[in-house]
Amino acid sequence: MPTKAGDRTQQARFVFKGTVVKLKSAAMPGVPITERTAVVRVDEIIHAPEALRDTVGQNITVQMGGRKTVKRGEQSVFYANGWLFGEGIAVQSIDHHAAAKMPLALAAAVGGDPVEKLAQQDAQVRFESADVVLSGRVKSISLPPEAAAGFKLAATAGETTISKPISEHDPLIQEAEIEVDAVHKGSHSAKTAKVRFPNSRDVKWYKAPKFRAGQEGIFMLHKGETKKAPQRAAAGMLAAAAVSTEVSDDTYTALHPADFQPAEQAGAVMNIIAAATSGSEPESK
Amino acid sequence: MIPKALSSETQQDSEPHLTVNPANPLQIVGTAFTPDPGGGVNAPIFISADGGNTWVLNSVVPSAAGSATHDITTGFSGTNKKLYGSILRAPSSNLEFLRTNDAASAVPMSVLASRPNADQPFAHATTVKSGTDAGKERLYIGNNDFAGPGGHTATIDQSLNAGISSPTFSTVRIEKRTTVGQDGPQIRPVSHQDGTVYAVFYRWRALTGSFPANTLIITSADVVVVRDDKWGTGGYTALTDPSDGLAGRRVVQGVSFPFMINGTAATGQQRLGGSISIAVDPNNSSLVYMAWCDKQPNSMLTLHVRRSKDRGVTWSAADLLTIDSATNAALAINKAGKIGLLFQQFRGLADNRRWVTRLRRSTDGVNWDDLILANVPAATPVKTFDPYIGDYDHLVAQGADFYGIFSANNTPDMANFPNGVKYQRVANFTSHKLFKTNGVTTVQPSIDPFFFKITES
Repeated sequence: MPTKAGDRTQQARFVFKGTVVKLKSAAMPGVPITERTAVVRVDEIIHAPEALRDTVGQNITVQMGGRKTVKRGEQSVFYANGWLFGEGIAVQSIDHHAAAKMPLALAAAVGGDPVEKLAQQDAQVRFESADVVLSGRVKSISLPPEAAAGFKLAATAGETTISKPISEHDPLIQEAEIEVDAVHKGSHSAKTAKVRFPNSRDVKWYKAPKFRAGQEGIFMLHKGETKKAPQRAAAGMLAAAAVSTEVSDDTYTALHPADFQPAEQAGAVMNIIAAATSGSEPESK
Repeated sequence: MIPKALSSETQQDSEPHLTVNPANPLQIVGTAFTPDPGGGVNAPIFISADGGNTWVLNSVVPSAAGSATHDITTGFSGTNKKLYGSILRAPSSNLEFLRTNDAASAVPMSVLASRPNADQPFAHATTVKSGTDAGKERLYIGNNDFAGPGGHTATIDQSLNAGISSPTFSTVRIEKRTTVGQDGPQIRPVSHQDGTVYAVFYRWRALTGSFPANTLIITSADVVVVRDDKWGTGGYTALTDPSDGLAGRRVVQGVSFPFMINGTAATGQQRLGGSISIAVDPNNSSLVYMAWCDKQPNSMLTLHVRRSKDRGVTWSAADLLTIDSATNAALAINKAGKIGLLFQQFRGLADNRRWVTRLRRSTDGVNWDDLILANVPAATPVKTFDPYIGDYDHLVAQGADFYGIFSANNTPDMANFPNGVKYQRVANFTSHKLFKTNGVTTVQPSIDPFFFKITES
C-alpha cells in the first residue's frame, strides 16, 4: 500500500470516482469472487489508459487492496490498475477513500480528457526524474563511434566473426545533437547537448523517441536509466519500457515517449515547467 | 482472441504463442506482444477456461507500466494448473523464468530465475508420468544466450524439478562447433515421456552485410538437431554428426537466409530471419519431424519439412514438403501420429499481397491436406513495430486434437476466413467494420491473435 498520495496516484493508472453497486460480487463471468470484490459503477474518471476511457456509466469489478472496506451505495475514489479484460472489466484497487476526501489536487483534475490527463502525469513524472530539461532544435543525427564499429563484418566463410551479438532487439543507438534554446531544469551551460536514443522500431524500442534533424521541442534528458528504470518498474513507478547496456551512465538518453514533446504539442509540458519554476502545482487543462 | 471489453483496441498483437493444459485441455493460455490494457506494470496473458471459446486478458506477467513484455512463451506442465513462462522482461530485457500455480490467479507470476543478455526464450514444460521421477515437472527453455563462451550461444536452460518452491536451473550449451560468433535466435526444445529431449537450432557459420542497414544475410548456416536420452541430464550429446563426431546432427548444411531488422513491403512488412520447429511422435520417440526455412530462388523464404525415423541419426533425403514464400513454421504430432504444420505464406500480386495462414496435416508425412485458416491483406494495417505478425506462431497437439495460434489482420470479412471465424470484439461482418463496445464508433483494423482448434475424429 503506497504511503504517499502522490505515489498512489502515480502507481494507479486508472483513478476514478465510483459508486459501489454490489458487494462480494463481480460484473463479468470468470472473476473469482471474494470478500474483496465488488461491482462498482464508474461515475467519473480522473485519469485512465485508452482502454478504460469509455467506462463512465459502466459497472466494473473492483478488487479492493489493503484492508479498507466499502459499503454499498458509497461513492469512493479508487486508485486502480487493470486486471481482467473479457466480457467486461475487472480492476485491482491499490487504495481508495471516500469521494468527499478527494485531495484538492486530484479534485482539480476532474474533467477533461482522462487519457490526456494520464499522459500529462507521465510527462510530469519524466520531468521530475529528468537530469536536464531543455528546449531546442535537433541539429544533426550521427552514429556513436562505438556503434559504428560494431557492425563491420568480414565476409569470408569460416573466418567470419562478429564484434558484438546480433539480435532483433538491438537498439541501433544513434545520437542527436540539440541546439539549446533554454534550460528549464538542471544545469547545462553548453550551446548544444547530445542525447542518445534507440532508432530501432523493434517491439522493445518502438515507443522511444526517434529524433530527426530539424525537430523542435522540449527534451527531457536522463542519465543512468539502465539502472534506474528496472528499479522504478519493480516499484510500480513509471519508467522507460526498455533500457540499453550500450549506453553508459554518464550519457543523456531519451527512452520514454514523454521524453520529447514537439514544439506544437508542448503546451502541457510548458505548464509543468512553469509550475516547477514557480514552485506551485501545474494547472490541469 | 481480443475480448469484447477491448473492442476499441488497435494494438499490433503479434508474435503469439500457445499452451494447453494436459491435465485439463479446457485451460489454455495464449500470449502475444500485447501491453496491459490497464497501463499497469504487469503484461497480460490470454486465458481460456472453456477450450478456447472465450478469452480473458489477465495481467500477471512482470513488466513495466504500459509495456508489453519483450518476448514471451509459456507452458503448462500438466500438474494441476501450474503454468511456466519465459520472458525477456521489460525494461531490462533480462531473461526470466516464471511460474504460477494458476494462470487465472490475480497474483503476478513468480520469478524463478533472472539473468541478462539472452534472446528469444522458448518454453517447453511437462510432467514425468512414470518411473522414479514420476510427478516431477520438467521445464526446458531454449534461448540464444549471448554470454555463451566462444560463440556457443544456443542454450537450453532446464529445471528437472521445476515444481518445488525454489527450483534450480542448469544451463546447457548445445552448440559444440565454431560459429560466426553466435547461433541464430531460434532454439526449440521438445520432450517425450520416455525421457528423450530434442532441440533444433541454426548454427551461424558465415554472414555478410549490415544489420542496421537491413542487408544482413546469413550466407551459411547449419540446421542442427541435438538429442538427450535422459531428460536433459546427458548434456544433449546423444546424437552426433558422422562428419566430425561432434554432438548435434547437422541435418542440413550451408543454408542461407536474410536476417532482417525491419520488414519491408517486399516481405509483407514482416522481418525475416529464418524459422525452425521440431516435433516428436508421442507414441514413438524415434520418429521426429523438423521444419526450417531458408532462401531459395524465386521465393521470399522457403519452408522445408523432413523426418527422421531413427532418433535423428538419419533424415529423409528429400523434403516431405517444400513451401515457397513461407515463414513461422510450427509442427505438432497428435496421439494418433498425425502431423500438423502451421505456417504463414506471403502470396498474391503486387497490388493485392496477402498473408495466408495455413494448416497442413498428414498421417504419413507424404500426403498432406491443406486448410486455409486466414487469407488477409498484407499491406494493411501499416506496421507499428517489428515483427509485423511475429517471429513465430505456434501449434500444439493435445490428445487427438490440434490447437494453434497466429496473428493476422483482423478485418471482419468472412472471405478472409474461409473456414469460419468467431469474434469476441464488436464486429460487423457485413460492413466489414470493427466497432467500440458502443457498437457505433468504428475502429481501425489492426493485428490480432487468432486461436483455432481442430478436433480430430
